[in-house]
Amino acid sequence: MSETAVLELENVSHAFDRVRVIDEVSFTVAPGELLGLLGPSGSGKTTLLRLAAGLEELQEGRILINGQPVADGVVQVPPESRGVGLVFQEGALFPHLTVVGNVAFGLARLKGAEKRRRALEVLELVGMTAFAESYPHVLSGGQQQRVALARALAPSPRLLLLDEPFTGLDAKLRSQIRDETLHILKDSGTTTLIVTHDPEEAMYMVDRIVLLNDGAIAQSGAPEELYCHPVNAFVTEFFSSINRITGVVKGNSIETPFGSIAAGEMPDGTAVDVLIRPEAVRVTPLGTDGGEVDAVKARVITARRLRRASFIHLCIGNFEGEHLHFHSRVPARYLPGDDETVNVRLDHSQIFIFPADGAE
Amino acid sequence: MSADTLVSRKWTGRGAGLGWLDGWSVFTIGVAALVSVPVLVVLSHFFIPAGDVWRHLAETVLTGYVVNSLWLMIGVGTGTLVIGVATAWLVTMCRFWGRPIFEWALLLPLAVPAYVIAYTYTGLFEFAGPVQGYLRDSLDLGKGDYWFPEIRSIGGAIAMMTLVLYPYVYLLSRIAFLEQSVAVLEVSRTLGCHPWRSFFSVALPLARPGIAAGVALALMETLNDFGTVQYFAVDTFTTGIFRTWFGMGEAQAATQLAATLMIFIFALVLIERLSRGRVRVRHTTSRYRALPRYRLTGASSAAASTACVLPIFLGFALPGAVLLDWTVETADRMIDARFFAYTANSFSLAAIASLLAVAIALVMVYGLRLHQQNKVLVFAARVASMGYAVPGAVIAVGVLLPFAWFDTVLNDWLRAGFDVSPGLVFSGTIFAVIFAYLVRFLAISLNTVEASLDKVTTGMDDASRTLGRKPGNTLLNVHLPMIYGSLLTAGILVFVDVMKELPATLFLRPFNFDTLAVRTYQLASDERLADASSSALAIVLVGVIPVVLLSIAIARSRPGHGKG
Repeated sequence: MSETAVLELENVSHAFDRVRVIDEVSFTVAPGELLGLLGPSGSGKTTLLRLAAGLEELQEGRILINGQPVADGVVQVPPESRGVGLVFQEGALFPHLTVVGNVAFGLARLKGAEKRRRALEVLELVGMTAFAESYPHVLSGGQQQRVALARALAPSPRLLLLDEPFTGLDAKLRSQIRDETLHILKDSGTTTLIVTHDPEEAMYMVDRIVLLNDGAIAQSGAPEELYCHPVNAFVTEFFSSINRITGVVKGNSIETPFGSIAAGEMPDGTAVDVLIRPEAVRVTPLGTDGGEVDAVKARVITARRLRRASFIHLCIGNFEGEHLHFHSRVPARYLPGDDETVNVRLDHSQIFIFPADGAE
Repeated sequence: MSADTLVSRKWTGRGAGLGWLDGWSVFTIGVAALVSVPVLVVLSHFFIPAGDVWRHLAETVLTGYVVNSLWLMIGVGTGTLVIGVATAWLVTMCRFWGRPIFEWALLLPLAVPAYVIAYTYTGLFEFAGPVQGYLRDSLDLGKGDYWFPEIRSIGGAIAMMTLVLYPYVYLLSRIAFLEQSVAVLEVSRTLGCHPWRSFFSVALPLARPGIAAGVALALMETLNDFGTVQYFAVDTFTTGIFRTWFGMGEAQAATQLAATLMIFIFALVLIERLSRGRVRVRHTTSRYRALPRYRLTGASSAAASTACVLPIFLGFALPGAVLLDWTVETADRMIDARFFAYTANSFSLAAIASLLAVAIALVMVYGLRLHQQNKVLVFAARVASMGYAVPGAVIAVGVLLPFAWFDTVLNDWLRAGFDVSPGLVFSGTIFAVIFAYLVRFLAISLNTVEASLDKVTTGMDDASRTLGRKPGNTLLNVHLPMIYGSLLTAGILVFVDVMKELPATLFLRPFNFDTLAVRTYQLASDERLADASSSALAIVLVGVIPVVLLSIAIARSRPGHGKG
């Protein structure tokens, strides 16, 4: 990367009450980039964001903004001098100030008329000009979040930090505000770090994802890279529910109820988890699809039509006579009946094999 | 998000570094250090070898002080317990005539200082008073022909204090009853408990921590009392301290008396702290729902109404009416320029003290918030708020000693170096009085400000900081406008307590600087009870303000229970 990163974290570690919650985390955010800090609750993503904002004092490592150290054990630049904007889950609008007063709060350097002009300009951007003189308590959750975004954008921060900004909104409003926010951020070229626990939100919003697990980076990269080439079981499972089969490598392959699956480089005798996304379990009615090559038979326990897909619970017998419960997600055109016998085959590009837990 | 924030708020240490030492934290520690001086000075006298005077005191009067104090505590404790719990139970759990009025009116006696009610009742019930006079006239009796209870006795003191201190128990046990889970009471009913049995076996044990805290507060006030016991000639520690210091001029022995009194105080603080801790834990389990009240009718309703009317009548209405009557009677003589001068003195002392108390509390509480409840600062705030338990007489002694020493040193030094003698700079000035008030009442403003600042989410701080505002700027532009109302409440509470305060004011006031409370005390001591009424009435009237505020606050405190 030739350009100086807007935000750079180097080997940042952090502990609360001697419990380590961040462990040697390093990443950068490039100018104009939307970076998603993704992870389950308790993985330390909010702590990292607060460290970047200066709301939490750095304990170990180094943080740079535009190449200047803002925290490195000697320097600890306070949040008000870092030039970062922050949007919270709950908005955190000042209840005693009007909407325009809230947005103008960070514009202390501008004079009266100029300040108001800039505040209204940003309100225009988020479509809230009509509410300029209202107080926050009369606004809906979505409107409050728009104002919070405007307030954070008004001083033209070098870096915008969003902490689960859409979590408080209901599902429909969430996708709408998420879309609006994405366009505002992209149009203005704002460098943004967004914290979220929702993989779908991250994939929708960001250019690059840093996925955290237990305070350490599990994997980082473009969303599709994490989805299609996960480096371990945690990453694989984080993006969707999965089917898991345990097995042992024998002769470069693993025997499963679906037949043998190539084991790649893994040596013989390795205990492995085979992770199969529901989308990779292809279900077709008997007697179609050009014969029964590669297919195994399974019984449908029950099938449900979701919005864009059908979700099928399958029962497949394995060689020991046990029955395995499997999930399949197929395009919603197809919905088999209960107890129907169907053909099942796997899409091998969406099967992931990792050494079994504990064997790593 | 929420889990992470919770953890970070609890996090206190920043390693071994002292990075948390900034203006805010240094101020907090400084205030705590200053405020703890009087108590530490007094306690240090435990370690000073007892002098002859102390040995003399110990042999002669000390036992009397201890016995009287214990009797007072037993009497006032029992009295406030019975009245406070009974009335609280009636107004929260039953429906009867006048209940909505009693709910707040039961707090009114809180406006009357114990010494004021003592003077009033003495005027009413002493031998020359109207009650005995009427009895003698109507029954045609002479002196010595009949028995009448002596008001100026330890029993009288217990009665007086009980009448004005029971609201502490009422207030806290009422809250405890309100916050009890309705379900628990209903379960006990379905299990076959009669209402009376469910009161004694379920409601009362559940409310015990709140009740204990209320009684502990009432007993702290009992030990703090000076005016009543002095007037009734019931010798206790506070009168002993006063007499030993001013009468005998024995500062050290007086301070040792004060130190002994602190043992009682520590026991009470311990009880109160432990009980309150348990109150807090229990709150989380309460479900808010309008209480199903037992409807009382006929005789039981009348009995309940009487039980509530009596304390209000005896603790507020009767003394208030008597004071009003005497004030009108003596108005031409007593409401003069001097009366307004005393009022101005009282008001200016109270105004200065309450402004300072609120400002200091605001900075301290905000400092705590900035430093995420740093353990050293939490301890400092705890120290700064311990004065509420310490009797005014003890604080006065603890303030006088170091201030007088400081003045002596200052004068010696200035005389030697510059040949000037500034006289009293700290002791015997308004400065000493205000300082004593802050020591005693800082806890009130600290608690009120802390409670309101806690309601402002930390998101507000974070938002303001990332928008480029420094901590002080954030306090002024974000927090201050949001908690303005609570600051006013805190100020009023301190204001009224300063107005009522007697012993510290009496000990520490500058020569010829009299307040309403001091004036009331002096006139009463000269047996000019009627003449004292105008000053006393002024104190009571100002004292009603926080009672009204308190009533509004508790009426709002329970959702679905708003109109009381």
